[in-house]
Amino acid sequence: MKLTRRRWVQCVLAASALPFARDARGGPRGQAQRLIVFYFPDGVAGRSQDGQEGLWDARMAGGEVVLSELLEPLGDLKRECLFLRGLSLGPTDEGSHPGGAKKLLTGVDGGQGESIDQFLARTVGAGSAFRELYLGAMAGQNNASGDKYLSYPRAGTTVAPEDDPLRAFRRLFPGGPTPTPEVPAEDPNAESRRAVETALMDLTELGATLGAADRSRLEVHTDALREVSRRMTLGMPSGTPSGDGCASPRLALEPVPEGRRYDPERFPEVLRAQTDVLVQAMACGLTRVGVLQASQHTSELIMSRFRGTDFYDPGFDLRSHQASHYGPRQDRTNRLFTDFVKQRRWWVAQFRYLLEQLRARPERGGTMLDHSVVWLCSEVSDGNTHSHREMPFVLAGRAGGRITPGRVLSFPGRRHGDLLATLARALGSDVERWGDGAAGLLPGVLT
Amino acid sequence: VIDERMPVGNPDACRGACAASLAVFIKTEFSTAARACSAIPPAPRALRLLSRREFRATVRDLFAGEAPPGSGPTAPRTCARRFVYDPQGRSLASVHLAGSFNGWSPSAWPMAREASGVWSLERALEPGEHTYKFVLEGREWVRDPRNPDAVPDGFGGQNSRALVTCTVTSPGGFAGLSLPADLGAGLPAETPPQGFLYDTHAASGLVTSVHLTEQLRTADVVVRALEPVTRAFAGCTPMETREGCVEGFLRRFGPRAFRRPLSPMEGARYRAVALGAPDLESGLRRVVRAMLVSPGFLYRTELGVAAGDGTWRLTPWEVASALSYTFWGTMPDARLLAAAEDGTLGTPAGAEREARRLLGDDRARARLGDFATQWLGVGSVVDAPRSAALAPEFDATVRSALLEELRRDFNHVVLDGSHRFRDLFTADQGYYDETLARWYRIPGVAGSGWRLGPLPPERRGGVLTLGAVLARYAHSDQGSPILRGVFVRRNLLCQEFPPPPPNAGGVPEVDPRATTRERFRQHTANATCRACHRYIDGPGFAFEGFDAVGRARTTENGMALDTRGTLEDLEGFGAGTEDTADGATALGALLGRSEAARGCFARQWFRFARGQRETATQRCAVLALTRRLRDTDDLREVLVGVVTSPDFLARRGP
Repeated sequence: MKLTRRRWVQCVLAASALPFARDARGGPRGQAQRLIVFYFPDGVAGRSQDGQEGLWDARMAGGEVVLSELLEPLGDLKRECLFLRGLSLGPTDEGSHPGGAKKLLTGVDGGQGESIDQFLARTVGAGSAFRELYLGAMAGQNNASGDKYLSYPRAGTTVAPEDDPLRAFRRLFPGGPTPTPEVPAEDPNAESRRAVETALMDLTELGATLGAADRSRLEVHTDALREVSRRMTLGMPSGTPSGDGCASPRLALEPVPEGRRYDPERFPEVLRAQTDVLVQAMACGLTRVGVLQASQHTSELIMSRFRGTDFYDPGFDLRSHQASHYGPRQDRTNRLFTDFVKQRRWWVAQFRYLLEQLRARPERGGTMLDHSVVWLCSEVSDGNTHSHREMPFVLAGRAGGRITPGRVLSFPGRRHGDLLATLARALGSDVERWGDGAAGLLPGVLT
Repeated sequence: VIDERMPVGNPDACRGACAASLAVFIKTEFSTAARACSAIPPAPRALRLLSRREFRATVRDLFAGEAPPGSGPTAPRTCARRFVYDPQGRSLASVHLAGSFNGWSPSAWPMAREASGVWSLERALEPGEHTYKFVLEGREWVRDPRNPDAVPDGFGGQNSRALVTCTVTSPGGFAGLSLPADLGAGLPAETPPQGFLYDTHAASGLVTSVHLTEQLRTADVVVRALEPVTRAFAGCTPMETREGCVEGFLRRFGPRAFRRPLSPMEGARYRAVALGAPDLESGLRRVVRAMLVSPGFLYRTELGVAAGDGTWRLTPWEVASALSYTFWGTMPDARLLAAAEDGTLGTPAGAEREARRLLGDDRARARLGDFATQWLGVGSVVDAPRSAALAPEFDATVRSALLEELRRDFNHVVLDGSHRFRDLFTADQGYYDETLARWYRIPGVAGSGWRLGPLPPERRGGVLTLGAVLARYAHSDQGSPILRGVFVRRNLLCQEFPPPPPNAGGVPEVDPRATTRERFRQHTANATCRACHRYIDGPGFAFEGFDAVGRARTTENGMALDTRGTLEDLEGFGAGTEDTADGATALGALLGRSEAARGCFARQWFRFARGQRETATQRCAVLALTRRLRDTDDLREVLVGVVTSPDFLARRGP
């Protein structure tokens, strides 16, 4: 066999990556290996201003889930989903997109708390090569300010997701798809590791002079140094064909042409690429916590430019947020409403693509989906009223046997912090409560 | 802050939410106006992570070849200065440099014409102060339009003044690294809170593992570039011992990388790093790599040392960094570090002197361009989707020309032109190149290079009629009076609005038989919406003479346009006034006279420079800045005022 340079890099990296495979996959049975949050902007056609029933919620009939109009694209995957009805983000900032986005992953009003993904990343996910992957699809459009993002490493402060799939891929798999021309001959990480050790000592010295607020920022910095140091010690990052579903990772995507970073025509391709990056990273055991953020709240994404969809219209630019204000009632003669419905179905179809990718990869005699918990969410329920009640949430995956999908559960008025705590539990965390208005784990979700 | 506090809770009534928010706003506004400012309390201590922009500029400058003073009396010195004259498109047969350095000879030092159209000359000069002029075609003596520093020439005019500093060339002749242009570009974007316009926001600056990965990658690129020139870079002589070389290198490089002397513990730590390596050169490179990911490099502190009276006093090194990052967006130069070392930066007068010097440097132009771009919020015009059917020629070249125009025009008003506040809104001259002239339909402009020239009448509204602003505040297929009105209120008047209430209608569908104004009329016809939109749409309608890509127009869908705008309560909510302006230039004339706009400019610069939104206790500092602008009518005084304010050198704890 001809040992090409690329193959050589992959072999070497694969060998060095094995410790992580054990870390990520060696937990006790009966817990989720991973959490994936799939976010889309501007809510759904929920309960209308005039009081019509929303078009989102699924229901049970004859022991089977009956999908709603908006969830219909899930098709047979409904049997892998658990439909949660009635959860609330709480009354604070109700009526606001940013207010909802701030609460969504923190469970705390105004985003004044750490988000659940960050918490899991630094607790149950701390043994992974990458504690968390936060990927965006055009999430940074229009010089986004911090409130457009979902992930809070500390109270009141977000981080920005990586919007560029190629860059994300290269960070995870530096050996491919195109090997970098300058791979150093000696251990590439030894020098960087020394630098990180020195930085940690400098950081301790600096921390001694600071007040509490700045010290908490340095804690995030310290965590970053430890994470990367650990990754380097174990010879990561790499392309790691080690997990069951971890074939040689690849990404088919052209580099972004000049000026087209936020070209809506590229959006479907970018979102799909980010989904592929996330799934491959998880298949290779590189991380247990992933957040996929499609666009941003109050989204200016011109969805009518998505080719091949049933709402494609080159003659009329219709943005996500614009469509979400379809009016006080569900009016099938109103273009804004009918296109909003089609757009929301498209988001559900993208969620389905993610689930299909997980289902297609084997893991421990089942599929990756069997060992995952995936959460589909948005920052408001009805896009027009900006309601924070009856949130459009769906879970998917069997969480390593802890979740029995194919059901609809109702929690009228319950705060969604209880869902966040439940998700954490599914990953093996021992939290009992999470966020404002917490009442404890949601009953009946985990077995 | 206002945004966060707004009680947008009632899903049925815009009026309630808006009214409440206005009440909050009126309270905060009027309380400051009414309360006398007897003292300006110290600003909070701050730990400021370099922004992505600052990080990249700092890495570039740290390895660009400037060596610190005190590298030794034997080190050869180069005291070169480059002079540049931009003829603004004018065709000239010759340009000469004449000054105190060559006996004012009009023919001794010819300048060379570059491909870009500018004339330039680089000469080695004695360190110190020189005065000079350019001599055009042997007859016409002009001062340097790019250099604001000038002194009377004794003939009723002015000579430009140049302060020549020396770059000390290290033995071995280190000439600087050439680094990839996109180095550090992979760092994540900043995440300032809603409504804060600048990437300098201090409290939200975090280093995550993604940041660190990119920092390590950057350090790796630098260290590999250093490999063949490590010894020259370090400035060690061939005779020096390894220990001596390391000591000297830490003494020279440490204070440049950390922008302050190393602490004793850091000194010992980095000495051990260097001496722990297999050989001298790899040890030096280890130091460089480690320092580039150290908090000493990544953060700049405004922490100070305890003064014993409960306040902290910034160290001269912290002042040097504050000055260079405020005015240049990069590390201090050798002269600033020298001023820190000799203690002259410890007084407001010393800080002011250096601030004025920094403003005279080209690096200040780059920084002010960054400020203006963020103040006006237009950076995203580069890749904002616009309908191709509307204007296929609105391409990447035009878009970047629009941003360059903004940077040049802002710098021109502030540094080269009248310096007057109102010219930001009323300038009748502006910069353009061939691309932009074609886009603006300015006839008779050909050839490369940018020139300053008269603007068409409809473009004489300063920042209001910049193509970048008009194209940014629009939707993909139509101009938006709402976005433009909010821009006037928020960016230019610092009057905040709550986010649109629930049930707000979206933008109406494009009706080919209606004008934008007609489509939006329901906002002000509907009492619910009117509560907020009377303030927003009024100024927005004054921009109706421009389409979604910022081109001037006189009709829309075949109908004549109504460009009359109104500004209710221009000087503050509840003022009870209503001004009218027909078109954007008339609106510019209003804003150029407005106290609220002037105060807002001072506030915006304060936020940019301090990396925070002013708190209640800092309002007096902002008011003092506003007063300074009013009294001097010189924009440079606001820029400098932020570091001469009593709350700059003294700090308070959390």
